[in-house]
Amino acid sequence: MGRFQWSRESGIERLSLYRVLLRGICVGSVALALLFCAASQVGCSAKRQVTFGHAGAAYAVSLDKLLSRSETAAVDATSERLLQDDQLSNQTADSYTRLSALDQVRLEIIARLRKHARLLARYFSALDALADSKAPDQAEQSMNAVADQLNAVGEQLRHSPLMANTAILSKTTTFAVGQIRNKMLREELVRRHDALDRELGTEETLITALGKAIQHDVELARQVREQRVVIDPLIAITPIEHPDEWIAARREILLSSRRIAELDAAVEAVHALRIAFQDLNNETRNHATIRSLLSDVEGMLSSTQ
Amino acid sequence: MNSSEFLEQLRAVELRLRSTEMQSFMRTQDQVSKDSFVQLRQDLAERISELANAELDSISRALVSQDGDITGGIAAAQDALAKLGNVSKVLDGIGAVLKIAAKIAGTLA
Repeated sequence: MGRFQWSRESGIERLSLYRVLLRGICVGSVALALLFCAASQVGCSAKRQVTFGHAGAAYAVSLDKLLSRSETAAVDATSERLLQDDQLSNQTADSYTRLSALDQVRLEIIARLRKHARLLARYFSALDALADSKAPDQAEQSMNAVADQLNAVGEQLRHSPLMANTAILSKTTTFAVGQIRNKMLREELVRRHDALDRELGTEETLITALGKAIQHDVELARQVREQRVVIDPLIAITPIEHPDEWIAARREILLSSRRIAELDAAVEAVHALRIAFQDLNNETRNHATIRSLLSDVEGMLSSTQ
Repeated sequence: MNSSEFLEQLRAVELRLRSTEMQSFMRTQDQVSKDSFVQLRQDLAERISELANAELDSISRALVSQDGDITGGIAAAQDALAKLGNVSKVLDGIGAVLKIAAKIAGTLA
């Protein structure tokens, strides 16, 4: 009877132990899977943060080029306007000053935009430097040195190394410092999410407005220049004095692309920046989901204890 | 029609007023007509420049208002980078202390 009692109790104990073990295995597997997901997310995060930094830096460069093009296009268009008008009606200092003053205003606005673009370039370059930081590798080297010195002390004191496996320690250091770096970057991007979103929206508006202004100025200058340099000398009573120069000028004007390379590059760059920003936002949401899942797993683990 | 669309229409009109055909036609007119045509064309060019400048100025003000946030971001990123660099410096410091400790231990042994 006693033996039967013992076996029955033992069976119940064993059953509950299996149950706990099974639950532990299940929860552990989920936790491991989630940790794996989290680790792979960290890898993606670093890559996306680097992509965002690179895209931002590339955009700042292309914006600067577009602003330069905008300056020359505006000034050249006004020069062509003045020359064309002078052919019909003698220009006065007043007419020159009125149009030129508007160019000056444009140049001042562009200078302000360029100053902001430089600041933006500094921001993306700082993000890039952080995302590309070699701090984890440097920390690994420093940790290797620390471990070597620890072992040297151990050898001196007890004739055996204090740390048997230094590789694990240095790899853990790299991982930990990498994690800290990614966390810092993520925090910075989350903190400035709204400002970056506003900035991007305004930059897109700027590219559109600048693009239309440049296209108009370039087209106007090309049209007026063709008449001034190509058509007028041709239809004049006297023959063209330097035919080869005339041919070259005509070729240059007619073959000049109507597409503005700087504009195409800026449109492409702002698009790439928007995509990189959206990718980061999606990832931040995934991080939040994983964090919430991990806290659920922690809850499950604590309830099984 | 918003101001951007209005600006685009004015630009299209200016291109037509400055076309080869229009210029050739105006050359055949008397000087009074030429003078008033040029005046009209320049007035249009001024309005276009003013509108484009106003549009770009409004955008630039919106961007400049973000300068504080961007400057804060630069400082935060540089600060984070400095903190990361400190990890290695601390480890290097520990390594240096241990090196001395190993030498002392060697002397004592």
